[in-house]
Amino acid sequence: MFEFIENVARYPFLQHAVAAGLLASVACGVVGTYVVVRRITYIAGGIAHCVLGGIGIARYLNIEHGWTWLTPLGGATVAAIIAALLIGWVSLRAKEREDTIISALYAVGMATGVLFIQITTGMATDLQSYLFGNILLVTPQQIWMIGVLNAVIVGAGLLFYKQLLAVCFDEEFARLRGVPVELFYLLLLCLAALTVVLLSSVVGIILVIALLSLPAAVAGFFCRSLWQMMISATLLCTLFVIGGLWTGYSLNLLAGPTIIVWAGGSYLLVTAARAAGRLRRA
Amino acid sequence: MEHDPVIELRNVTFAYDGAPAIERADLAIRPREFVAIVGPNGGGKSTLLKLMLGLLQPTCGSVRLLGGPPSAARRRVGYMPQHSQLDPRFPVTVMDVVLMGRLQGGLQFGPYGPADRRTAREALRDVGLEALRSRPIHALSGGQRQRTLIARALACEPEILMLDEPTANLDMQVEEQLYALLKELNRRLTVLLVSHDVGFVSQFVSRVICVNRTIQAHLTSDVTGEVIRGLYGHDVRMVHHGHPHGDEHRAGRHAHGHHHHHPGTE
Repeated sequence: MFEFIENVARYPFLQHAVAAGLLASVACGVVGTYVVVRRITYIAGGIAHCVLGGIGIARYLNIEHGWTWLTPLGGATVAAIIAALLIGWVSLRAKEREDTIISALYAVGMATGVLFIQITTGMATDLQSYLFGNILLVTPQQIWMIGVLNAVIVGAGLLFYKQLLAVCFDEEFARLRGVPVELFYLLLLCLAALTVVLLSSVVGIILVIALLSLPAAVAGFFCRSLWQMMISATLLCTLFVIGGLWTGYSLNLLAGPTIIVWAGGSYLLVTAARAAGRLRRA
Repeated sequence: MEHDPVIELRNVTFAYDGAPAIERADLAIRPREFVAIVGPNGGGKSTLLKLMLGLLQPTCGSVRLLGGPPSAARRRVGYMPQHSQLDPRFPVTVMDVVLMGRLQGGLQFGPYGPADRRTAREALRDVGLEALRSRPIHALSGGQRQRTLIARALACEPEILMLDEPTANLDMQVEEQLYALLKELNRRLTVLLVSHDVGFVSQFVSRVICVNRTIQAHLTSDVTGEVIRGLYGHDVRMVHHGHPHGDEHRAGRHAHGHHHHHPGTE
């Protein structure tokens, strides 16, 4: 651990990785909590897969057509918002076929991304870093963008805390109080989409849903209110990211999957400890 | 004006996918009535409440709430849903839940103000839960959870209280306390509740509305074995109580409480 801290002090790329991880953790704690208590992790997962389509199209236009202003992160953000609104609209309107339509949407989003990556010169080698994360390659410019996204997400998530809480807990009652519940549901999905973009720069698209949901799920075991859960989830996410960076760096392993093993391992440990506690009491 | 109905249904039919759940219902509820809606499971009791609140639109006929369309007036109603609809493990405290009654329409920014917190605490005092306001809901008993939801309905500062199965899964003693509380609230509010237990509820309310696709309204004193047989299609033993108030009645209730029949739960 000491050696890792020394290296962080020495190498800017590790400092960037830690900064990106810390920023993403705040959005992860706030939005992950809403996503877990509202039980829409599979919807957030669908959005995550669609993001690859946006990245692929953005890279294609960037390299083959000279749209140099369009970065993969920008493409991912646009794709995530479109996917969130589309999937949100489906889940509000097509109750019965919701799961089928969402599965179809994200498969198509992902396939589109892979095809665009294939026809873009020199892109195929980048595919792995989009799928499994490239936190060690984060640039200062990306950190700025992550910071802005983070401010938007956390700002909206806290400004509308009471409405989002009410919509997650009892949508029907919120509707009776005159709260525009469908608008807030779509807002929640957009926040989840932006958080997915942030976290995918840390752990990649495939693993993002685990990092979004596991810290909040662990926090949910011992928190009595939503804001406590948000703070705990933020701290846990920070712990997993730093822990994963440290072990990954020390053992020469990919950072993204290492972070997820930390998160998943903690979740399993807490679940097992609770089950054991319940057995002893019974 | 004082006696204009607060809820009025005219020839209301509602169908889920073609099969009518409510058929040609006519109903008028006047201010400060205490009404129980009873009937078998799947008979349309909750559907009736949701029609009154405009959460469901009638297939034909008209519903008026406080003199207008339900969607315009439903913020003046305190509604308590069936508690089984809610996730008991959700991380919220009693106060968090009750404050939801203070939500307003539109886009309000930021947290609840001190006036909202005051109103929520008063509602908690009304149901006797003020001391438990910081407790998470998963650490409450069934009766405390029901009272939390009633407090949330009261925090709306409503003119009408609509409660869907407020006494489901409660033991008899808690159930009786709850009815006493509603009776007290009925001094200032119109109270409408859905119950599965016609025999017990009829001693507290002024009118019983029997719902089994169609609607029949009865004054409490007219609820006889005949009516109940017609509603449930079998015999239900009823307990009559001479004294609707006081200790004597309470002692009596416990003495023959075991005769009670719960038609809806069989």
